Amino acid sequence: MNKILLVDDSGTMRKILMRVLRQAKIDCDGFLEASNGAEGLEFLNSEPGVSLVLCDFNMPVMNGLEFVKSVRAIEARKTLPIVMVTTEGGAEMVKNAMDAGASGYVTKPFTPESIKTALVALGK
Amino acid sequence: MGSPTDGEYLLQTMRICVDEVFDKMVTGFRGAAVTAVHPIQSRENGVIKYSDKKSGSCSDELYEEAVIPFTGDVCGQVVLRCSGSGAKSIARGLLMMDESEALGLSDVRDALGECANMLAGALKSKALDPNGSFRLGLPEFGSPGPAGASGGALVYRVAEDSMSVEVWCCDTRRQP
Repeated sequence: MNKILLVDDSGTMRKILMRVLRQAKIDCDGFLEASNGAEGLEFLNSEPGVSLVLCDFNMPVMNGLEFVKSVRAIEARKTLPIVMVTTEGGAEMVKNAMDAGASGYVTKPFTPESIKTALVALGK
Repeated sequence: MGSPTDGEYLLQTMRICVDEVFDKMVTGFRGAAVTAVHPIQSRENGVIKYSDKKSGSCSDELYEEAVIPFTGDVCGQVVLRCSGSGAKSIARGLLMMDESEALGLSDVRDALGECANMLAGALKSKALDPNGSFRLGLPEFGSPGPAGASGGALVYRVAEDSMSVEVWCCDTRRQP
């Protein structure tokens, strides 16, 4: 299985990302939707087929930075591609995310091309 | 470089942010024209009155609103306020839905919140972060608005729809 996990507290953004990923013909067997980092972690623990994560920064319960750190603490998930898709475009926030283990970073508002470019860079 | 306490500078920057967010993300709102930059004159029962130096005051019934608070060296809010039809148009534009597809109130509010979030994020990157440490809050709805804050609104009209994008700064400084 080859599933993409979308972690964003906005259902609107999750729908937009699904549309963009389908249009970009990113190889995928389905989507999993989580509204915060804690839900995202639950999916990663219960769903074996997740091959890519797109994650927001500012979310309730568990934010994106905490989520990335938690995922990287799991031995089997150290190389799972995680792309931050967020309104936080400041250099310090990008550095924090990359230092925590994010694989890529896309700032909202984005174009479909910017999402595709980030995923192609990860071999998707 | 402008100051985050300079309302005019924040509004000018927000105008760039609106163009960026709506050009990239909201189908159908491309080319939306700013009619004017207005300070808000009053707000009462959901009716916002903007003072217009050239033509006198004008008002719009803009009652669907999403608020993104920001805190830091200066605290404040970014508010996206729409007429009911304007809110639906933004939601449909974001989701690339046509008129025939059903859209619930929760969908509209979520879309409005995400749009406000992108506007606040763009403003943070362009005008706030270069001037200090700031943090964005999560979207809020039906907020009464900050009391005693300085700020203003960009008022847009697209066909029958209206929306305003407001930036408010509080005088009280607090750390994030």
